[in-house]
Amino acid sequence: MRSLDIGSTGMLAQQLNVDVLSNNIANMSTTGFKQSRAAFHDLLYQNINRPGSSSSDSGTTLPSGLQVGLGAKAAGVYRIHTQGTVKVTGNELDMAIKGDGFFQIDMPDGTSTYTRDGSFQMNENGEIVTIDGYTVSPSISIPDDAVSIDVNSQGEVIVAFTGQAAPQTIGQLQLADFANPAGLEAIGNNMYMETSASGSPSTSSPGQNQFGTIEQGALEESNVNVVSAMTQLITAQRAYEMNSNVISTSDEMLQALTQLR
Amino acid sequence: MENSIYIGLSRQIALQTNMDIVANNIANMNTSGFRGQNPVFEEYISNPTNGDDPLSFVSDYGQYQMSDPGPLRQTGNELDVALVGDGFISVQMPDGGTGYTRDGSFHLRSDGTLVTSSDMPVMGDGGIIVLPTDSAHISIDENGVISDNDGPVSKLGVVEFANIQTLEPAGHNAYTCPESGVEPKNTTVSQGFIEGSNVKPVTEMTRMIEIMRNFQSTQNILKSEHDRMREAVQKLTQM
Repeated sequence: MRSLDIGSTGMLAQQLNVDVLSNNIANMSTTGFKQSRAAFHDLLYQNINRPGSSSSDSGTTLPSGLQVGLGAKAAGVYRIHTQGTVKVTGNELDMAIKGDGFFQIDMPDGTSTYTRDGSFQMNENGEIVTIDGYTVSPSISIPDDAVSIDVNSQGEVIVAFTGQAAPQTIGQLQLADFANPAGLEAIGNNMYMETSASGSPSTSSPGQNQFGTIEQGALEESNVNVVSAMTQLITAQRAYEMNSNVISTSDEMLQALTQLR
Repeated sequence: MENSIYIGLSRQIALQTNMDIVANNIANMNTSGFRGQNPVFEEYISNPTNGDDPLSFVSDYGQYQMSDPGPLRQTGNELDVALVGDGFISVQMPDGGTGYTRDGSFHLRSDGTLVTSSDMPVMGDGGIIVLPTDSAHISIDENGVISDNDGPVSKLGVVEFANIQTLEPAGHNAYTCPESGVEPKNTTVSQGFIEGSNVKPVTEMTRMIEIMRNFQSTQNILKSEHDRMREAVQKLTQM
């Protein structure tokens, strides 16, 4: 009975689908989170009668063959890098990217990671750091006596000092982008790492070369659409049940066979 | 003498194939661009005694693809395309041949090659589609022309077939065909959508119940035939 195995491939595929959807729903309010989608494909086909094989001596051929598919399989899990909604927080070190690009973060081990989560803080040296304390590249130090910090849409960091009429530009934020952002590897903590599938990063100032712009005092929320995530979850659960029904039907057919005597 | 058992058996073998096809349809309920299949049975007539009572067996003869479109689901992803109409998108199979798919969930490799979710390169008018690595804001119009911020780049190889039953499923959401397709007339491309599987769960579940009941009733025929033969042997030995 192929149908027993086919039913189990379907159940495994739907299981993965539920896993991916539940991760999306769990990260509904994670800043800068990008939702994933599981893609499936059909497995190999077993040819019982090949289409086009001859059906008589006079050269007629079968118009359609008998090919039995052997089930479904997960082809991959892909992240969908659409823009999340931008929520205004008013915090002067919160930054959202409107458009393409990632903030580049220097990890303690010397590697670079990339994130869309712009909820930044300041460390004891005045450097702009992530919530985990890793510095944002290129490193920008904000002087102790600065009274206000402004980041414009081009990523220029401008600070004002008491007693000085003109504010000073002290740094320029850079964004990194990839040929194929969907190929980035997620490593948790809202961070991504470059892979051979993503290509190497190209960096630019925000607002130039098709890169996105910076919105200060705002954060990008996750791009999970709750309504569609819930409906997909229902579909996945029902599909799982139907596949389990396939298995029990095949089981009953086998049971009927064992009673034949 | 055992012909009635063999006829019942032929029915059960056909029902098992039918069940395999239904199971495959249900397993692929969430596979994008999947086309469900229906089995075709035929009567196979055999005339062992050259008399007036030919025997009629059932044979699982072939299957055909359901050609109705699957439901479109909006994803908003700029590299997702769905086909409206009967066409297929040409892809390059791992063996170098041309395959056809309705699964438009495309992705980019790091060198800009447009690939399907099974990593098969998508074919355009002039071979494999490679997008410039710096392209942003990719838009695909209803004729399949792919443009980025610098204008048109390539065109999706959309083809139609006179008879879609000549397409042979090859796995990985792709089909192969001995004939090459023709220019599309009734097919348009919509970006940001994915076509789901055209399998209808209600139909498949009812078919599954029907298969099981048919299987059981054939089983009863076989059982009563078995009983009849046993009784006959017993009666004959008593004489």
